[in-house]
Amino acid sequence: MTLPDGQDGSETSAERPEVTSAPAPENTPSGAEGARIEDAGTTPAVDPEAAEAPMTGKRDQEKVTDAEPKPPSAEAPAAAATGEGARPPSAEGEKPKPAAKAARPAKEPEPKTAPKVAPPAGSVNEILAAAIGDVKIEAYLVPDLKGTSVAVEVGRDDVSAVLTACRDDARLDLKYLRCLSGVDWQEEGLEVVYHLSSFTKPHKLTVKTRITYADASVPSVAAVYPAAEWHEREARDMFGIDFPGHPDLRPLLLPEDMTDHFPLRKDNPLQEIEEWQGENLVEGAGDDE
Amino acid sequence: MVTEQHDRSLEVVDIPINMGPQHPSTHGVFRMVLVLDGEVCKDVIPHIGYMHRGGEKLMEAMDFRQGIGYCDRTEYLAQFSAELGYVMAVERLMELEIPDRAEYIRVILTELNRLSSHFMFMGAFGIDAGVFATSFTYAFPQREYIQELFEEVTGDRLMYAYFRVGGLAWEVTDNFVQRVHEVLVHTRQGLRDLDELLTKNEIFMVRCQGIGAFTADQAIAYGLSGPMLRASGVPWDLRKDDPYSVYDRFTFEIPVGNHGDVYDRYLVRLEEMRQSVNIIEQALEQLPAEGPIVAEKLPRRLRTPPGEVYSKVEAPRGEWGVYLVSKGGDKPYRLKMRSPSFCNLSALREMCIGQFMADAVMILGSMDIVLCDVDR
Repeated sequence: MTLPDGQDGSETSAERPEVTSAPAPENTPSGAEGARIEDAGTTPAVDPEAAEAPMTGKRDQEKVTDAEPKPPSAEAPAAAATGEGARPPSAEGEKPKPAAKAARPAKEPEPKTAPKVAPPAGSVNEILAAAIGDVKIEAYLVPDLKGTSVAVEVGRDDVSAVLTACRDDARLDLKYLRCLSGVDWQEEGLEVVYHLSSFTKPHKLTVKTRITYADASVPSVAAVYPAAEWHEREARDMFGIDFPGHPDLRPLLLPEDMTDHFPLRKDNPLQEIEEWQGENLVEGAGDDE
Repeated sequence: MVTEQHDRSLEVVDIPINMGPQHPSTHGVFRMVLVLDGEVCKDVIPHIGYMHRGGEKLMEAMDFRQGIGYCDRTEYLAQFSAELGYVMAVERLMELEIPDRAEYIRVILTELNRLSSHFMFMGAFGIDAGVFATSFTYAFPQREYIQELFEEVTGDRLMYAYFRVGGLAWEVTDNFVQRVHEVLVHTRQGLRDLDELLTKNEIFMVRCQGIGAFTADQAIAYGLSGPMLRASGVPWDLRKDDPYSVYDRFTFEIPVGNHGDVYDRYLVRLEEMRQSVNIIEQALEQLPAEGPIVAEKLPRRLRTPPGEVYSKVEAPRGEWGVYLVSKGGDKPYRLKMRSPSFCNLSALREMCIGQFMADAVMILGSMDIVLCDVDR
């Protein structure tokens, strides 16, 4: 259990003879703290601003930014109202400041969705198309942690067939349902997203299906992937999506009598205090460094 | 007194027994209804949601930097893994390049976190198995050494929020490398102690072996991950099979079980801890002595372009996934946390049916769930 005596005491005290305020070897925080603060001023390698930002320095800098006279243009309240703000992407931060600010009113609003790029030939969507026959799929690339992976959009009624093919077809071998999520796209309806992966093949696949609020139901895939059972119950709780064919679609995370409103839908607002938590940082404050 | 003529034939009924939500064996606020035939479970109905705080909804209102803190509060025994999964998702959408030194420190801390989390498992699981507090007293001091190191580095005991989008919050302490070496001495000793105490302990073996066994096919179908999946014989570890961060620069083994039972899950975790020590040693050797710890040109207000990404890390309990959908701006449009505890727990019913009631406790213990992580 205990450490051999020679290992602990002698080594540490030999390493730090200059720290006089730390007689006990366990008292490392104070000694280290002092050394670190001294270093912070002298180390040029660390970007001081970025390193300080999350720390106490952040508040002060924000106040300074607030005190600066703001550009008297009309786009600031407009940006705050939409909650998005037509900001140039981060790559354009290299531009000199005045130019960037002058360009702001002229900028068109950023697109709300990423452009859809068709996957290259030989991707997993072609294998899928061959496996499921005449089911209509729309394939595009989505970012993966390294590189990209393929996402396919299929019709609601084809989900079971597509996922069964994904699981059973030897060329696809997507036996693992790692995640099932609901997404509320407001005007564009609801979406159910299935993340599949394979243990034997290098590919992954994201299957998506869109549904409307009026007819929010997707056939259950709990029979195909038992892992979907709890995920579907959660999606029903949070988005009110019905999964016909599910063995037991009782509320899972929410109280059993809470079946009338669905927390994760966008029309279900947060409490004011919770919204405030996010809006706490003034829109645009600290934007321009 | 007139006695009625009773029907003397035995009537057999299944007895539902409620267990939890406040029960020492449920490792948190978790309730399950066991439908018993004698001592055998005929059905198990888990009830979760007691700790549900609507984290996914709350994170839609927080900007990307604020969300990091919520990850800590969700997976409070493997905070660094949770933070890493989240910041990697944002970094991928922002296409940030993380400096090497930050990546190595992340790996070292995440692996130390795996050790501390598994020490927690060893202690708690011993209690489930009837070793009483002995395993706890051996495991917890070792966990405490690691906690102390985390406290020195991050300034906090549990809610670190130390991994930031683009790198780290601040530089580690000057004697960090030396301190990690010191902690590893204790860790190795703790591993030896627990190995001697539990692995060949006859009572422990009888209590664990052959219980709650899952085949590889079942484990895959139910979406198990982490040690639960590997104990069933599937050699799948995201650190090796889908490497993120700098894990592809280390050599380590993936322990795999043969039987998929509770005992194998214990063995897999024990071996995993040795491999974690191995990884940390390599990372300490390769750690650049100095260099930036934050990505260059990091804007003060984090904004992602529109898009989506599914980020995943191998957390101590399995695959911690973050499905981040952004419409542009500084907040997630939708954030789904795929927590390993949630997915592993969904197989509880299947695992417990046909087992003794006392073994249901062992099976639940072997899952090593974190209820905050289940309920989010």
